Amino acid sequence: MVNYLTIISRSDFSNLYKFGHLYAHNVVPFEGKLSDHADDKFLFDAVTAYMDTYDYSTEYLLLHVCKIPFSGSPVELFVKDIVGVYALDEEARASLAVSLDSRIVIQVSAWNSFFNGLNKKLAIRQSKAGEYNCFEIFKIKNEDRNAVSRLIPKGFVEELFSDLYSHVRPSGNRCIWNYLIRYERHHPYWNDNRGFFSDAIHVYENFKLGSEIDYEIADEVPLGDVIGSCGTKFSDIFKLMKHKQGNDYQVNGCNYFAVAPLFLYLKSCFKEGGITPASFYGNEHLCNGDFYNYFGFDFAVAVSLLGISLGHDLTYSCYYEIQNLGIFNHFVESRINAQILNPETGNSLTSQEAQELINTLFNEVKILREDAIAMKDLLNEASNKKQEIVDGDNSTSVTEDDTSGNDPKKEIHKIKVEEEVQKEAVKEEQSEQILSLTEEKEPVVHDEDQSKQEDPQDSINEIIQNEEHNQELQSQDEEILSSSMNFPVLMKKLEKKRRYFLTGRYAKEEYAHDEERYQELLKKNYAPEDFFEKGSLFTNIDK
Amino acid sequence: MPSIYNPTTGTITGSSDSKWFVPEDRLNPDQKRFLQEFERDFRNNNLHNLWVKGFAGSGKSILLVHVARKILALKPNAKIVLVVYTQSLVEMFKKALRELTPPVNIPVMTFYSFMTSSSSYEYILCDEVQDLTPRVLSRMYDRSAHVVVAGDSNQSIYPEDPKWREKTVDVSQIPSLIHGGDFELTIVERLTESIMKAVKSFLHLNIFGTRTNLNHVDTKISLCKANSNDVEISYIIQNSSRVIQRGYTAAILIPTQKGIVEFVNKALASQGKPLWNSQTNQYGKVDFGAMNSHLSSCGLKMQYVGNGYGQFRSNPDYVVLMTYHSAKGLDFDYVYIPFCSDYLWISYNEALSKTLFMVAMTRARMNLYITYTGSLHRYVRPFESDCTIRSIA
Repeated sequence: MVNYLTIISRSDFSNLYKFGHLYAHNVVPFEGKLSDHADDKFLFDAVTAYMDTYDYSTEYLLLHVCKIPFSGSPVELFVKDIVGVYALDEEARASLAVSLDSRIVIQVSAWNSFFNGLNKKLAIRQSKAGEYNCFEIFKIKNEDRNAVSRLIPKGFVEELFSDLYSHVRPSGNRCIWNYLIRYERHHPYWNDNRGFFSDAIHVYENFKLGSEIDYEIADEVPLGDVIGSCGTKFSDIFKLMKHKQGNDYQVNGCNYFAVAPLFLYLKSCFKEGGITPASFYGNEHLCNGDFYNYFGFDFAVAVSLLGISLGHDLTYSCYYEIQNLGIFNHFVESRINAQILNPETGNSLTSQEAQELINTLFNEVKILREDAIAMKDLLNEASNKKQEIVDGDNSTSVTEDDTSGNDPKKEIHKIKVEEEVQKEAVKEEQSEQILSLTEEKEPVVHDEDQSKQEDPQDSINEIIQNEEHNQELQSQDEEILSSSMNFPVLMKKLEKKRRYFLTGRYAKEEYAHDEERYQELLKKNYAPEDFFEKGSLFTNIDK
Repeated sequence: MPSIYNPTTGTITGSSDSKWFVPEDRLNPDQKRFLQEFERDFRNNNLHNLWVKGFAGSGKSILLVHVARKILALKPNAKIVLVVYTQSLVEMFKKALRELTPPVNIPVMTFYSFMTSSSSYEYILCDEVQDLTPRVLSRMYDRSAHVVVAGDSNQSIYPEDPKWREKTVDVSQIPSLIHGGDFELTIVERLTESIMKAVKSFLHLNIFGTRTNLNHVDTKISLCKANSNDVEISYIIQNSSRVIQRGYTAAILIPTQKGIVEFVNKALASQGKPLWNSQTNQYGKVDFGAMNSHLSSCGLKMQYVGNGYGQFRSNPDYVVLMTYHSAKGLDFDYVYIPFCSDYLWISYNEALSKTLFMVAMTRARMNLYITYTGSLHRYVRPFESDCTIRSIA
């Protein structure tokens, strides 16, 4: 007989105990007594090589098995083969003792500290995955991701979790991001946006001192006075702080007093339940990319810290939504089927109930489509303006050419400068409108397309024709909606379209001002052009 | 389902928006195992009556909702009822169940309504079972094929029901009353690390917290020693006033209603205001409405809430005064527990005293201030070394 060790999940143990046998995939032999291997990291690594990430130490059990020598994997284990049951730590032992058969003797593994290290290693992996998920969710550009990785010290996440698992609070020469992520507010700074800035000051003072300060330091430093005297709008506080602070708080190319309040704000948005489609889409400014447009790289740093902090566990829901997982198509179907059933009786919904349901979805898609059309208009407008600038400059250059001698390089440079100025102007206008976290966004009113006025009769005819066509298509929609068509099919189609429009929202700002990027997105099929057609919502569904 | 004091709206919402619902993939291992076993037994027609026991915050109410969903998924025409303790809990559950996708349409009623009706059910689900009387549990058993009850494994803090004045159930009798087994939830996610450690130091509980992560904000427990009650009270008034001014919720918790009146008069005296001469209402009990008016007229920003007096407002501009009892199920950013010296009297029953003190402590989210003069109370001494010591002389 040979001694073996294997790790199995608690539910596997329940099955093994209940059914008497189980196929185990990683059974490792050892010699001598198990207690002799308390420091045997090599054996530990072999036994735990295929352990999955776990939240609680109660989720796994270490089994000491005695069997006739065997080779190959998997191996069939029988209950009678087990000679020892070990919990990963004392807490797990106490918890398992409550729920397993009381006759089973549960001991605590001598590898307690090794398991703690393994858990830490897995947590670091989850944390890094969280950062990646957040980059994807917030559509952070590759150049910014690379810059963030240069800014955050190498080994930062490892150090963070080492401290966390050792119950060590930030102190000494830990980097400022360590102090920031581990910060907990225990002082009555304003319980609104101002508080995030006070917290940022508090963290900065902790970092300067090299230990955590236990009084309201942020209220006592000169910069803190500014916070007390301004309103609660994030943008107002930020502008005022920026004005007062000068360049004193630059940390390796980013503005600490942008990054820290942004990180704390983002964390407060998602601390309950993490980043889910609901919490993300529910925050218009975040899902539209307004923050990223305004804060740029500083926002990317804040997103990185948010991801590290939340980890994969609290970000996967929204990440999967953005990835549009293949398995979600089944989810959509099951959701549709579920909605067609009366939850109380299990019978099909009455036609009136189904009609109400489908009307709601139809209206939602309609609004999303209108939003998409507005984006398209914005894009056209930007494109036309760009053309105007190019045309205007070309005509000027012809006249100037005679006297000054036109340099094509200068012309290109001029166009680029004009474009930059225009982009800045649009950006500035946006920032004024959107940066308030506490106020509702004002609807943006766009100018009429001036170019159409050049040929009024043609334009009028075209508009009338389009309108007639649209009305015809819309009445077709009404007919489809009121007909006795198969509701699940109809809902599935609407659901698909709804997803496309929601996905298109992410790219709103990007493709509104960047045609190349927009074309790139089109190629990726994020927002098929056909979807912008006014009129029927049921056409081009399958494209 | 515990109610939650929402600092933004200032209302007790009972976490009634769909946010309180935890989807199955996010349940903890205890909860998942319970559901797996429940489904297995359900499919095998081997379902026993069950008592889901666990500490406050272990997710018992969530599990009842999952059980209802599971039953409806496996047997869409099942006749289910959910029985809860108060009418406000009925409203909270109804709203929460409606907001689920798909909505769970089952009747929800108080145990009094249940007792006055005569309907029979296939499944009775019941929350806060420790607050019910043995007679109610026996009736549940009689009127249903399957009973799943959830409740705190500690004793009820209510010795009797408010209407019939019958003794509430001894928790050890629950399995025999429902003729079933029990399932213990040991993971408590709601309590912060420090509070969990403190509670376990004077109440020997088999509970565990969540794994270490970067998102849990701990509760800071401060021990504040004063050289007199006046200093102690002045400190609480000063500190809590600043807290509410900055937009946080704060509560001062006192063991008894009599103690509330004493605290208020000491507070008035410390601020040089006229004392409140205790008045009674039409039922011969303390008129806390009159006391609240007196506090307002003296400019003291505190109000008693409980027994129909006072209310939670949005953006509260006052500190809430409550008894330990009334605070059950509520959360506050800052909690103050004054007079925690050896002389603190909570109840004649030692076990109930410990439970009530635990209830008071576990109300704090950001900060818990325990103030005292002289020598520290025996419940606090075991975790004294883990607290931040503040001298308020």
